[in-house]
Amino acid sequence: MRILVADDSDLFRTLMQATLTGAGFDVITAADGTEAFERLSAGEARIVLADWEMPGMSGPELCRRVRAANLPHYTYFMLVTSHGSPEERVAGLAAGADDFVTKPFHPAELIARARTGERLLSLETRDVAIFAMAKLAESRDPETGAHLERVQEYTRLLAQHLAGSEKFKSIVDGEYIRLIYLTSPLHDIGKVGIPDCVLLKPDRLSDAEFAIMKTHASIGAETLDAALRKFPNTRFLQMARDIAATHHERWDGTGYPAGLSGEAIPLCGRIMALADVYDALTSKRVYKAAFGHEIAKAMIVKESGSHFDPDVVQAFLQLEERFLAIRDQFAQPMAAAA
Amino acid sequence: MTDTQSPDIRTPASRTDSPCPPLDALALLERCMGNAALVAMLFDKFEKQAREDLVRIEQAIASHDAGQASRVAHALKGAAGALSATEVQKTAAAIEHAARENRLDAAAECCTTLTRELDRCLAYLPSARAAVNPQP
Repeated sequence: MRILVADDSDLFRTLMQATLTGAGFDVITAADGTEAFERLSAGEARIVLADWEMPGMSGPELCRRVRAANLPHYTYFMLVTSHGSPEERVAGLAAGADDFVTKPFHPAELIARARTGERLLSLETRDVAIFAMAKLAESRDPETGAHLERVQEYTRLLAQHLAGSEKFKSIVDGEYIRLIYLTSPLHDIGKVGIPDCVLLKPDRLSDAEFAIMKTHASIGAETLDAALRKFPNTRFLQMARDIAATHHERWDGTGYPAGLSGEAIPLCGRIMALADVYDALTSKRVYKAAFGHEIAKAMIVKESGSHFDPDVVQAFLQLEERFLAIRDQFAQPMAAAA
Repeated sequence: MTDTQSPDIRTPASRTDSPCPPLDALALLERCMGNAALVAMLFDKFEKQAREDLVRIEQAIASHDAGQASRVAHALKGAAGALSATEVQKTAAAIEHAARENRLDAAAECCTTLTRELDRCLAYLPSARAAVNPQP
């Protein structure tokens, strides 16, 4: 697997390159953060070993840029530090780094850490499998087209934006952004428990049918809760559960299933709610045509503070252009594809 | 064994002002997994880079650029660390630290020590090269 070594010191580049080449890695180098970012953007390497302190763009800054860029694959990011203090590690982790190497490093340790990265990247197939299962669960619902792909992008955009605000930056770090992208497709996983006569009804639902439909949120949450009991403290499962459980809650407490309000609704659920509704509004359904962006936007703004978290609505308004670009990129297939 | 002409490679440098050699060639050789050619290349790079770094640090201090002085000292500290050149590493760290706190007078004072330690280190390089790669 190819690994990029980013260090302004020629001596260290040579030393790290030789060590990793000797262990069978294909190594490319960059003398500063800007060059490293260009090479990573071009997909030249998926494992990075970047020096913490480089003139221009520092290692952590490079890491933040990589995490913010929508690269098609996950980049395994290792930061090379010279003191390795806990504060430094916390700052590195918040920037989205996966691991640390302390200078001067031992070659066997460097190689072992690079191998860990290699192993982790191979787990990316796991993420693909999760998405495939979400798709499968949704395949009974023929109308949704590329709904999952779009909400993945919308939730990530909103999270990235909130990460830059004073109020949310302590919650939304690089890992949070990555996780919301991975877990948002599972929001409707509970729909597997909704009978065909309700899920596939080509008309508006009656009150009784709608009551059944609403159970998908708690069915999804219960399923993921069971997984969470087996693997507690898994941030991935926790977020997936929160999203499934709370994406139909409303800011004013009139949503379902629990009637939570305000910040009692986990942030990921508040983000998901807006992404899901925007996508539903701008997509065609049997009972309605697709609304244009302006109408959908007006409806969302009108519900700021009632249905939606006002901060998430503000983020959405800042990101309008990018929402439109995503909608175009994943244009819905004509009518029902099934 | 008391012969002063003993070919012990530690002799020339250790006779100056410190009991141990200014850099640990064998530790570097181990860090390079026994690759003597790589060690030789790193010595060459260090020789070139360290002199340049010293000049850049002095220039930065002269032009009151504390940020630049601390950055270059940081880089030199790292390179010296890789070669286990302990005294150069410590002195560069002291300069980095002083410059970071904008105490350029203290940084300038350390430059004298840095020059001396670096000279000692570079003077030792031929012996270090011989220790790592015995054949000429």
